[in-house]
Amino acid sequence: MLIEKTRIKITDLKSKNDFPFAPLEAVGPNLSGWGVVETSLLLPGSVCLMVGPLACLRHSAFMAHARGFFKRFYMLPLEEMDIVMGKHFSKVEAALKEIILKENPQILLLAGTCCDHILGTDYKEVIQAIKNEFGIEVIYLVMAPLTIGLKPSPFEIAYTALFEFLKNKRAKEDKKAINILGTFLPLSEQGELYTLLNEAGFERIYQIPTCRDINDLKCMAEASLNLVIHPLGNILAKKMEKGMGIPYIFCPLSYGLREIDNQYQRLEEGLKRRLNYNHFREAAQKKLSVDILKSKRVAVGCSINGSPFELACALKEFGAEPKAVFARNVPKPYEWEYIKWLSENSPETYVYNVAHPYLNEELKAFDDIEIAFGVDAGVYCSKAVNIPLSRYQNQVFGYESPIWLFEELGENISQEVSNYDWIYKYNLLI
Amino acid sequence: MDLLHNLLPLPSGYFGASSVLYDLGGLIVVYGPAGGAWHINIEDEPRWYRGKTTIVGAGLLEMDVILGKDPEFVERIVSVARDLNRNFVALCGTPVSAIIGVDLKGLTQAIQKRLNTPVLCIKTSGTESYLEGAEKAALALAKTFLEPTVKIPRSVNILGAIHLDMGHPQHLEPLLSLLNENNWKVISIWGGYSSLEQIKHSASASLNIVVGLSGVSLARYMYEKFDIPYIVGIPVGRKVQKTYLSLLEGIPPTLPQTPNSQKALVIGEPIVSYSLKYFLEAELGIKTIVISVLPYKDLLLSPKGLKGSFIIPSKEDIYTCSEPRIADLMNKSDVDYIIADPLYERLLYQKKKFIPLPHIAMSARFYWDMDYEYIGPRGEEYFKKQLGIT
Repeated sequence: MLIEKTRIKITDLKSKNDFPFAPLEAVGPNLSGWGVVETSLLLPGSVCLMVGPLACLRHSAFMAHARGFFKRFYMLPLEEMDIVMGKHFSKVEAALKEIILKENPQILLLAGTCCDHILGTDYKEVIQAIKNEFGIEVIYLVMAPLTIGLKPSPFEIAYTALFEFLKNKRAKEDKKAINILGTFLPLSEQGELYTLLNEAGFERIYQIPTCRDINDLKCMAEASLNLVIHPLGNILAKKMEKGMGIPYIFCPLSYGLREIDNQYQRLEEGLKRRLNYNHFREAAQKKLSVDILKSKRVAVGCSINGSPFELACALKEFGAEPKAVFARNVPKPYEWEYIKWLSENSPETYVYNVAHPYLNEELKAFDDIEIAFGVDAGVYCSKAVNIPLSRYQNQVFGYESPIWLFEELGENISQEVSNYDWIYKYNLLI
Repeated sequence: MDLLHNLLPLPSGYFGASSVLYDLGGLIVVYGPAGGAWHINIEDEPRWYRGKTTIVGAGLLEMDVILGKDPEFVERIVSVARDLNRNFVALCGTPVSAIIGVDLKGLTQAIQKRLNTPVLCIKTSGTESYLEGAEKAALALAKTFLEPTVKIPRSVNILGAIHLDMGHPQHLEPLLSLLNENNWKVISIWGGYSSLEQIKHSASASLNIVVGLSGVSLARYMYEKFDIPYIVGIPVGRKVQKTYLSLLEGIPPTLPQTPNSQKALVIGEPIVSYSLKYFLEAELGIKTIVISVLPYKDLLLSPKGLKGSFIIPSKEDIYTCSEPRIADLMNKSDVDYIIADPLYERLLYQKKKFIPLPHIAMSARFYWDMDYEYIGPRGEEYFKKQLGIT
């Protein structure tokens, strides 16, 4: 059966070479991160110009329209010969000037594509000319899926651009300032983590999406610590540690109570302070109606906010039976402990490569799944209730995460939104 | 080329090729980095949803490009094609394959040597419009699968009906009903909706109906190769249907009546736009200007094989896909109505009545499920309602 080529039993997944290999890329419903351009546009007061072939521009343009940031996104389509012969520099410079005069941005992002990456296009002169003439920050980044899974990855390139902006802005260390990295939608300032950090003495808490302007952004350079809650934030955190001396702690968003306890203990070790999180735990436990999951056959996809393996562990602990985990790439280093735990406690779980071209061929294999977490899992599990838990819906941390999980479960079971609508109406899968 | 801001860039060549080939049970390989195929699936190709694997990307990475691992990818494509046992394999080029000068034809031959199913080479680069890719795919299909055969009287093929131009299949139903009710047998619909087996019988048709620009080059090929004449246009409105039936019999359409004082601007694919112009002028007396987002000068020629057309151009009509130019024309011309994809409304700041007519090539899947019509009596009903005509 073709489906056997797309999956591996959790107990057999011991190293990255065991992960099912996709000879060609099929559906691949999620590239496990936010769009490079979208991420960069989190910078306050920024406007982006993307230059490249129509095919590459259309994807980012679609995302810009679906996510509602098209007002800050411009495109300059280029002909193949212009790119190859390097005839496009004057057009790019003219386009940048046109945008500056129209938008007066604080930061201008120039985004290239795979073509620029292969050809090694050097926009330094164009960028310098713009900086000299207008005195604004110009950051170059490249949306190059050609570099997915490699070093530097597209996201590393995007975060390098952010680091380049921050690296010379650290005039002093602000002991009462902390950065939270890895948020796309911002964490609530009235939420659990803010409360705990405030109690721990942090008076200034920065997240990129809450920076009001370029001055707020600059303040991030003076923080005493980076707290990373999504693995994408590690890239910037590592650069800031090495280049600016700001240490970081990685505490990824988790759904299991045991794992959240671990995260907070790690955070306490890093901060060298006790955090008063027990009352959040107790309050959360009262709100979790775990019966709703008891013995339910569930699947978890990689488009959720968080690690699908960690969510599978949490679901098992809440009484569910994780039958399938859909992953796009080999597991990240921190996920192997979840895989080990699943091997011991949920040995019937299978891990599927969501990009495998054979996965669509036998969708009936998932007909017994009752609840599918993640829009990508919902595509395959056509009979299941679909709970997106998307990073485009909400950002939570600590014990807020299982509360959100159960709220979404209750809401979607009583008032189901179809997987089709999550994709085509709510644009949760791009 | 001008900056784009409020509009989406038109899809590129391999999106067009995919639109033509999607329903035919093939395996379409986009020879580029990861994401190339995915963009089509999630943004432009609603037929993807819970369907069989149809479009796949090669998933090229940096070192594959630098080291030229084409033989490895040939192996992978052959292996997947064998396992999936599709009707054919189509290999499409991307910006990456174009820039590094991948020999797509050579790769196609290498794959073909290993497979019994046909392998089509669609030379796209990702910088051309979808029109070019759709034309190439349709011609490759015709050259591979069509054989001369006995003609069936009063039978037609519908050419150029790609979803990027025509939208949801349901929009074509009024045309199919009209043909059926008047004893015209539909052999095949190119661009979707027909199986490969139906497409293979296309050479038996006695007439081709071109409903989208991407079908023009195919119609010419089929006239030269199989002596099948063709007409160009879509019937919009009840009265126009009679004219259309005459056109099928080879009687050219009469010129529209004298327009009243109202004016409309239609923006979109040229055959749909000109067919709508014919309806607006002939039935409603509304003088209409067309902005075609695709180059349509081929439509203005009268080559052998063309039996009749609804394309009646006027000097104000233009081809442009420039956002500032279109914005200027929308706001500065003295038109009362603008009929276009909903995204164009963002360019409108003058007080004019905007009537949405989704064009998937512009707005991708955003308005795929929108309630609108543009063909036959349903189209008339929709436009009259929008125009406030009872």
